[in-house]
Amino acid sequence: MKRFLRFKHWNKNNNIIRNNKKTIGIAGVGSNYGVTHISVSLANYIHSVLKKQVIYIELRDKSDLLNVVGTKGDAICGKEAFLYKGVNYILACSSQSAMDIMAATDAWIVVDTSSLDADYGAVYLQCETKIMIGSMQPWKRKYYYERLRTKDIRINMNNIKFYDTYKNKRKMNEFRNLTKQQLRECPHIENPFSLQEKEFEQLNEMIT
Amino acid sequence: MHFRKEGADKLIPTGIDDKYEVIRILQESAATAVLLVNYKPIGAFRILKAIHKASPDAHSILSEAHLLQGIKSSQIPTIYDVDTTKEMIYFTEEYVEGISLRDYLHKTVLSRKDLIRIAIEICKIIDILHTSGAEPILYRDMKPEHVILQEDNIKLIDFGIAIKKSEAKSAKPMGTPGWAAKEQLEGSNLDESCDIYSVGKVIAFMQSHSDAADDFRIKRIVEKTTDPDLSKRTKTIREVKEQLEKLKILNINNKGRYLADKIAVVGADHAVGVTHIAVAFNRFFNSRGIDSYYKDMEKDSVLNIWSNLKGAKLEGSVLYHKSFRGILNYGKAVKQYAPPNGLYVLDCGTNIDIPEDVDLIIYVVGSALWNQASYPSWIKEKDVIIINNFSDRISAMHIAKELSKKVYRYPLVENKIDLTKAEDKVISAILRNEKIFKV
Repeated sequence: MKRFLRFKHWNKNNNIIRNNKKTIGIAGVGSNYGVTHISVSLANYIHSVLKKQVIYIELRDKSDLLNVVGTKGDAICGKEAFLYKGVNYILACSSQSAMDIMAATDAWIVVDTSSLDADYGAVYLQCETKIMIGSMQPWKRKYYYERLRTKDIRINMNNIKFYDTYKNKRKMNEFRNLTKQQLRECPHIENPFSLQEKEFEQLNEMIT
Repeated sequence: MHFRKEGADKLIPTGIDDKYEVIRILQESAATAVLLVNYKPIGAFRILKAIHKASPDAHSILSEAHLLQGIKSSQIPTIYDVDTTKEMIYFTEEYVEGISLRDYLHKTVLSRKDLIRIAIEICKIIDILHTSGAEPILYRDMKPEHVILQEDNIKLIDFGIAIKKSEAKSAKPMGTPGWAAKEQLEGSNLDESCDIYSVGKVIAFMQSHSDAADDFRIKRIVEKTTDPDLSKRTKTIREVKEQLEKLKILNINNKGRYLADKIAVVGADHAVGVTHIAVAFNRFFNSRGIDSYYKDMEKDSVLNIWSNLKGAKLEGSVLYHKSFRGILNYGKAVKQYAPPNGLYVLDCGTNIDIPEDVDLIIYVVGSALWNQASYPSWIKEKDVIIINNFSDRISAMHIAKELSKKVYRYPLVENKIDLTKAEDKVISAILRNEKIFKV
């Protein structure tokens, strides 16, 4: 048995996901950090490359995606879901509906969280993989640190992956020294509905 | 010399003598007549179809004329004139000269190339009928007698029982037994599928009179087009045409360095090692400098290989790892990459419904007691190679005796990633013996 366990690293080659179900929450330290862009990219990657069934939950009052994906669909847990390029989109979803869907389905779930207030934050907390996007740009940096100081969202910081859209190595190191958390480069995805192979590695890294 | 049957004169419309001279009565019944006439003003032969007004089917002759008038094609007879006399309704159409496909096949053994060419032309005509008008026209009478071969053209004649799709529910069940689909003869669920079925029957008829009688690719097209189960039958005539065109391209490609473009590996049962053998063939070809690509038709094996192999590289939807090259099947949200050119090894799992355009099938059988003992109908054809995996010499001999065909024993291997010397030796022997490579 011990000998067998020694070979556990076999399952870790390339870090490709093996589970059948996973919930991924993506949030921004504020608005306009490209949370929807990354969320859609991840959902499309999981479906079109990893060939998993995916439900995209847009956790916000008013949908930003309806015009893009809202053509045909079906109902999932009583909520209207729009099928686009293989991904089921549940738009303008309430936190309660999101919780119900997460509990009831076997599909992979990507939660696009518009804000981390108590209501939506509770859904974000339920996700196995939590992604936080911010920027180390001089005029935006303070929001990242403010978010990390905020106590209203009781999250174990070690379970969150932090991403920076500014991609400044010096500032990323500064962030790590101050918070003891790793700040990663946020991938640049040209078109989330037409992914390219060069983008796969970073997207895969986000969800593993 | 003009010929007229006695009593038939009463079915010749009166008052047409100034325009038409009756040359021959081609067909007649109590109320209808089909005449070969000479159109006097220009001295050209035409077909005149007449029906007595009192006949309950009098309207049908007009509907045939209306159907044909809406279609513009050099492969369908032109309608010239529709008129009535006191007692008769008649119309004249182009006289189609040539030899019927049935008569032609009485005298000739068709080449594979001609078979495919004629079949494609038939599909084109039916496609015109199904798509060119405001609504599809169902021909309902496809048979070799109605396909006329001319020097440089193929025409379809006799639209006597053709109908518009909207009339299908109220139409009388008609057609020729042996050529018409069961649902057509029973008068139920009539749509374009009935013509697809009949085209399939005509292709089968041509194949039986050709030098490609054993070609399993053509047989697969026939099987799919004549499937009695409507849900399994090929959906559109355009699909049939595309499948035939792939076979046509195959002929050209076969002039290349090797005699195969696509090799399908299919298993008689689960867990007989289909994926392993397909990957081994792919590695073998690449190691010999032949660009080869593995493609899984049933599962996502390449994705699994990507997750398990360290150092694998993705480029243009191809996964590269040492001598392995596998095609990844991306979904719609990934930029589409043109498939690379090369020899494709298709892993078909246990699905014997393999693509029509494969050149060679490798059929993998196991020897375990629980492995299935039944074989597909095409197993004995010359383009099918049988590999016995996980077996001993006696089991392989049993299978060879049962099928009266050479069976190759695949070596037992422990290393799942690299091609072993034993595998290399067996694959070399198979390709050499079966003359897959030009020698």
